[in-house]
Amino acid sequence: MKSIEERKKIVMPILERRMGGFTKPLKAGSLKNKVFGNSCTGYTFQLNTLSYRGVWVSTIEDIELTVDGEKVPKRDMLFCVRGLKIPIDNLGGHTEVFWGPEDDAIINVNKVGGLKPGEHKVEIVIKKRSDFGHSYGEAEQGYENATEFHNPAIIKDEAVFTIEGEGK
Amino acid sequence: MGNIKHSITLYGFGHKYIQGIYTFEEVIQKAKKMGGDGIEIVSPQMVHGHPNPSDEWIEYFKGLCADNGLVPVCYSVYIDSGKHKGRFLNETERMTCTINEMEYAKRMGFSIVRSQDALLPSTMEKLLPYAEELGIHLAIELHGPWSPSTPIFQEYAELFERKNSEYLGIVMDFSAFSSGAPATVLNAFPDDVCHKDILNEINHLYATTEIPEDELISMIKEKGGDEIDIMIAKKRIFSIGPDAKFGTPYYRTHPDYDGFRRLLKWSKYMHGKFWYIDENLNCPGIDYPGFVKIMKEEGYAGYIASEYEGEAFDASIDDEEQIARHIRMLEKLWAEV
Repeated sequence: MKSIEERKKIVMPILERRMGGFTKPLKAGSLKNKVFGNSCTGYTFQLNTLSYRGVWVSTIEDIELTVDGEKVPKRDMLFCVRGLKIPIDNLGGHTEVFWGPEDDAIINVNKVGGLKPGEHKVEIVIKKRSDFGHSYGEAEQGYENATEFHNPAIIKDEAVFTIEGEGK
Repeated sequence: MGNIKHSITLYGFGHKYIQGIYTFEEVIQKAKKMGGDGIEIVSPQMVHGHPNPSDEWIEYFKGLCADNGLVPVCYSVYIDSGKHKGRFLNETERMTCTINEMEYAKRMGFSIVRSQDALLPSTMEKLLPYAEELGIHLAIELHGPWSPSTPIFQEYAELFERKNSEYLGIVMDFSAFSSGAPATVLNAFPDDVCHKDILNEINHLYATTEIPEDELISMIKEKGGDEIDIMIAKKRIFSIGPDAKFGTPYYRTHPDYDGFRRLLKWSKYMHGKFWYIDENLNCPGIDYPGFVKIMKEEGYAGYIASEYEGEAFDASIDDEEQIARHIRMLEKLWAEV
């Protein structure tokens, strides 16, 4: 058998593994420029569902996006689901919008000219509260003890996408 | 079929459904093939358009059930306390969202709506007239780490006693009554990083005896195990604390048999949770023989769902074979105990 130290290196990550998480939100091959005739106003890509049972969009506390090493300003981003296009900072107020596992969720980024054809590195950090927990109470009553809602999960992903379409 | 009504929870196929490996139609066909009499659906997971599915989808769903000879039994919903930052739902929100789900459940042909303890007993009481009007049995799920003695479940039991209505009740999940870790708990660890023979023995002793944890740790050392084995035993074989918010406490030789028997009176559906059943139809870690005996003694006439959650321990195990074994195990036990 290997040394204690070597075995610890193998065992620890298994013991700490988050069970049942969906941690790869970037949908492979989904990056496209928004092309209208000879105009291009930005790009879009899709997100995979973040939960085994779909999510309320108001539980998404923040989305940070970095493309080719540059942070995308939040004012240029929309979260699109079920026919709605919602600015990231307004997601918390849309408490009755459900993103089901069968629904396409799209991040729309406005950027004149879009992305150049070729490879692009996309990094995303999503902060999300649980949709449900085991704490309970009436509105604010006892919420201070509902720790499962206090600290959002940090869901990170990165991928290299290829733009096939036209860009400027 | 057989001695007891079997339900297949479509949730068991949820992981593959969400990844697009199975279509909804295939999920329904698999539930039939497995030997289910009825089905359970987790509404936000598989009802397209949740929480407001279209008329077309409802007709499509009913047609699929009819074509496959499956009875829609349990419609599972949540109390999504995370919707508003900084607070739980208020009573109006809990009431209105649950009535909405009960209406859809009725339209889709379900007879039971399963909600969660965060609904609160006082709100459940106010929902009784709607449950009666719709002919829907509204039930709260009792899931680990909670047990029948958890204060809120004592409040629910008091409500059931007081109302004595067939439209209010409980769905007990066997995660609230487990004795120890599943047989597959060590499968995630490569064979050469720990002493699996020793740990398997400790796992068996943990679930079937009351030998204190510190004595089990001494046994690991005596048998030639080391600190890695002790670390794995502490994190994977010994129970989480009963006050933990998530996860499963293991009750060893004393799961709450009396609480199970008491609550059975208010139960029309239960979650036969399991993580692994071996080829001899044994389910180490959950005392199915003991609980089936109580169900028989009490004349339980409801459904039991075969709810497999073993992929968290070993994703390579055939989930369909596991569900089929669960049904065979229950039939065998019902005939024998």
